[in-house]
Amino acid sequence: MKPRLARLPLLTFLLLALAGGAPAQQGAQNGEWRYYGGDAGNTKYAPLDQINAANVKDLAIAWRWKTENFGPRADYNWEVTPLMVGGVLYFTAGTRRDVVAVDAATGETLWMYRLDEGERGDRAVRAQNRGLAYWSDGKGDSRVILITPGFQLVVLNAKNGHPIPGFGRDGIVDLTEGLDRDVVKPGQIGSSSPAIVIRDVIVTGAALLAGTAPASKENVPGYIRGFDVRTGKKLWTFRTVPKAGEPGVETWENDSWKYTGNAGAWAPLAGDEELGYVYIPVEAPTGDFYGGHRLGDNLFADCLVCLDAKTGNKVWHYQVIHHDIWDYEPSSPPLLMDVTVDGKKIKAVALPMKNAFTYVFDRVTGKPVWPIVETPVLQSKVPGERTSPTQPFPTKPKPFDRQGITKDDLIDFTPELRAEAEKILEQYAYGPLFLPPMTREELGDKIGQLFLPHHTGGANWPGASLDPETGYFYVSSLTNTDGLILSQPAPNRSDMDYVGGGGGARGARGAGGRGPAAPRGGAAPGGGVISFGGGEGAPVGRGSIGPQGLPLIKGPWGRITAIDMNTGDHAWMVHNGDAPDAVKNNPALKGIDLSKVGRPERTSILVTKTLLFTSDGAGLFNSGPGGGGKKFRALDKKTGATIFEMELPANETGSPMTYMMNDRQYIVVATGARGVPAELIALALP
Amino acid sequence: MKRVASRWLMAAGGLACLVPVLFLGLARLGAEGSAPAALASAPAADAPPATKLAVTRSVWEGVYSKEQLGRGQKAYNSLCARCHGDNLLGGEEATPLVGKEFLKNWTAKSVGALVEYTRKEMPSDGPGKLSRQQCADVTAFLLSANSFPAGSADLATDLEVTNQILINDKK
Repeated sequence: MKPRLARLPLLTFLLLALAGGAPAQQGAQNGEWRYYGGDAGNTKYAPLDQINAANVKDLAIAWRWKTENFGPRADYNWEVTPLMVGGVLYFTAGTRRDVVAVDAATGETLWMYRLDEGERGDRAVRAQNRGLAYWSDGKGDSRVILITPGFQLVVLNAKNGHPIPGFGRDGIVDLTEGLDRDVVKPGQIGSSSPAIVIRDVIVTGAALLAGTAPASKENVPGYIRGFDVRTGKKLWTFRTVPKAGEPGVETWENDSWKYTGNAGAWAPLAGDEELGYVYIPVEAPTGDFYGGHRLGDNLFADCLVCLDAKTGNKVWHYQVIHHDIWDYEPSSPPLLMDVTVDGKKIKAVALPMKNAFTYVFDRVTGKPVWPIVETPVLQSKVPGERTSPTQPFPTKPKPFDRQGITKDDLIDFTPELRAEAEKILEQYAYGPLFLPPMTREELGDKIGQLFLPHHTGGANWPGASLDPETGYFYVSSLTNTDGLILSQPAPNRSDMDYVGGGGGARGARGAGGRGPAAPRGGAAPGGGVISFGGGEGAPVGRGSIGPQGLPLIKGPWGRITAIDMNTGDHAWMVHNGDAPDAVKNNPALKGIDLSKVGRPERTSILVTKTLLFTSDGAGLFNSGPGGGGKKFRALDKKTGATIFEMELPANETGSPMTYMMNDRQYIVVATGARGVPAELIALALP
Repeated sequence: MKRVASRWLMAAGGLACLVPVLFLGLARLGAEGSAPAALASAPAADAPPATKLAVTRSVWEGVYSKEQLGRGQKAYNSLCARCHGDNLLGGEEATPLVGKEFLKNWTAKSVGALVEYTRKEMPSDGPGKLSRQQCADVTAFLLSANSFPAGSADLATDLEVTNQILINDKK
């Protein structure tokens, strides 16, 4: 004991020196994983090196943990990332979003918490769950923080899973209260991502039903709230749709602020404990593709908002999409990074987006790190609609995926396929980024409008990861397109003047108009041909509208782009794996090299001191058709070269995390697949 | 082009042989001079062959009960609404279940085919777990949402019965 104590003053001195000088270290610290994104800035980085390029080939399953009997129905698409604190993993599991604590070394269940919410849970707007927040006072009071499917904030004692009696009412705060609506019905609002705790304040976002074809122009607003982590007392509300007298209300014409909703923040939030700020990626307002009921820029929808965590006061905001009618909302966790640009140290925040731009700001001031230029865009002709004349275009970094469609973007494995693709393309309206949605009348004999990135493509909730040592920023994206058409809904179904729909894209097939009927398992009502022409057991999903049931746009359909954030330049781009099986089996592609087309999926990226870990992806909800696969792989961080790959028991569905336990490095990843209930898989060296 | 045509014909032929009810539908559409679009997106590839060719009833004859509709709505809300929308107009990944698109997909097919499609393919992330009763109830709700009238008795779970009920958009 004595020698150890003797070292303490020196250690303390060193720690103090560090705290006073260099900025707080980025990445998960002390072999733990205390935040959804590794640290509060979502770097998804851990400075661990036991698993390295030389030994990664020995990676094997250490333990498995199964969700099948959690919740009334099995969960297949588990987007969770566990937290690891003090040798215990904490996560949400199953369709009821139970909270579970598990031994990090063995996978043994230590405790679980289950809340039966009745109808409000049953009707949850979002079944996905991405995990929990954690807080400790450092003196023995440690808590895990859940947002339930039915939108209640629950705070549990991390030691035993019991609700904290002094928090809210018996550990629970009802998040549907205080939303400036007389009634909030079950199934209107919830959350899929965890809260974040900064300076002892729990900050919550919100998720609502997808807005493709809303039942009403009226909805509940997804306000951002701050709660005292000790008592549950509501400290502040940040109105993402401001009310009369508040700044920004002038961007909602004709009093549309009174009824417009959504504008939640469903992607994971970010925070900076040192600055005391939280960073909120606010989603689109009600009506993904028609804004005639909410004319104006619609602040603070589609903004990155920086709030003071203690007061909720807005420090700065930047609207990345004005008057959004593309569903190009912020959907990735803001990523905080300390970079050096032109010799100047900058505390930055980067927001990768569905539209394939990365918007980078000084996170203290909100000023763009590289100029973002308001650029004229095409204008809508839809009755009642009024497009913003310009949209903000970042000058750097370059987009990480295709933007807008020309013939050069079409599939070109063979001249025949290319010719067929050109004929299909001419059946649609298409054009540059921000081509506005169109009505049937405007489209004339076109069967729909194509947009690229599609609103389910580009970057999404997995967002990006960062290597803080090099400033390399790694973002995964999905390249896909599909038809869209605005139509007037039946009055008993929606009071919107127009709602979005598939635009007949799903029925359009082949150069001759109608293509092959899908084989068994490959057909869906209105789905036409799906899953790259379908196939036995193919997942039901969005159709591929290209020739022979292939994608219309050429690959890679899934990719990882590395950007050096000290310069803003792209360092490398690699395809995410090889082709999905259904593509490989397509007779039109016999003999063609498909090893570099990538899986059209939202894949997550974990970065350690030694390697970058990624996967084929889930191939489930919101993914490219048939896009996922079981492969889990390690890449070289500098080049993107695949160093190692292995097959998991099922597809990776959540962002992987890593930690040290008893001198052993583990990587834990949530898996599942269509019909394969979710499991956690822990990997380690033997 | 050639490949498209031959694959299409093969698949269409296979489907028609497998599913007599569909074959009826094709004949009917053909007689009206429209393209066999419904067949191209036929969801009934998974439906078992009907045991009888004769369609004995249509959805206009009150083939489900109001009580069943209530159960179906409840099941829809918890199992289907998060993708297909609380107004059934569809979502990011899910097709509308009311109106023109629904009718385009299901006209000239049997109620049994709709029930079985639901049972075997939905929810799309983890299909095959819904009971026959749940699927019949949800189907009743979908029929109601598409303005087909309720009757006095439940829609049966027996496919032999539902395979003989025709979905047609006109009385």
